[in-house]
Amino acid sequence: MSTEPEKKLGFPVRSSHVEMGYGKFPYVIIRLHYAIYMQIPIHFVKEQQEGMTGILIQTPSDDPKEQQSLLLNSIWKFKQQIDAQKKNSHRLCVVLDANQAYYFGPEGLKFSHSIPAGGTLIANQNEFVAMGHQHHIESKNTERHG
Amino acid sequence: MKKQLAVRLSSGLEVNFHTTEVLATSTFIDVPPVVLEHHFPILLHFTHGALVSTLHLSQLRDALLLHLDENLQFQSATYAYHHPQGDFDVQSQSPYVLIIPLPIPFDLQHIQSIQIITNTETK
Repeated sequence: MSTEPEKKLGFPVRSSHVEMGYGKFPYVIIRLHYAIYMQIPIHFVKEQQEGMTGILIQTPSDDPKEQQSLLLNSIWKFKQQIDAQKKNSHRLCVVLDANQAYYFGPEGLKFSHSIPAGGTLIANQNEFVAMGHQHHIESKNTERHG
Repeated sequence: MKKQLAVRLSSGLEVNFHTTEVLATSTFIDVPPVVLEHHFPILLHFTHGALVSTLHLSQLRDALLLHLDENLQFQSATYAYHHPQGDFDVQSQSPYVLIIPLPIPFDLQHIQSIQIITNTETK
């Protein structure tokens, strides 16, 4: 009988996905099904760029405060687009840090200290990003400010 | 007391905050211990009747203070960044101060109104 500690199931956000912007705040989480989530990175860009995965928010500003102030309106427009495309009201939230998220739900938009974690996390292309772990990377600087 | 506040933005979006209302009977309030006890978001309600209140913000977690009049209309704002270590006090002439954690995902200029939706719990 082995005395090694039991290995935990699942895996954290893979480094290949981190390079594409996954696991870094802020990001959008769409709840697809019970315990199945899709993460969409958010990038603040000065001009439209090809080849980036996620939601691009165009702004000339380098100021994080100004960039972040654009989030709710941008994500609201994004939600309206995907709701219309899929003819379905998506349950999603924008996650600002490890303790803050704004949820777009049937009762409206709600601030919460609780952020989604665990379950199966997939990317936009339906690739696995993480399983049974938190949806962000553990780092002293996981915030993306542009 | 718990209160649900709705912040209506010019885009039509309405952001709901489940706040703890903290009554302040003194003109001076040390805010970090209040935040430790109740957690964000907090609605400070000054009931002392004086014109000005002093809020001590040293070592407060990054937060935004919205100064609101008696009808909860937005008057001005204070940003507390980087856990200010030195003495950091602000004075407010408003009877209500809503304290929410940073970052803020909307533009303060887009705040149209703030309303109390419900009293959700009484302590």
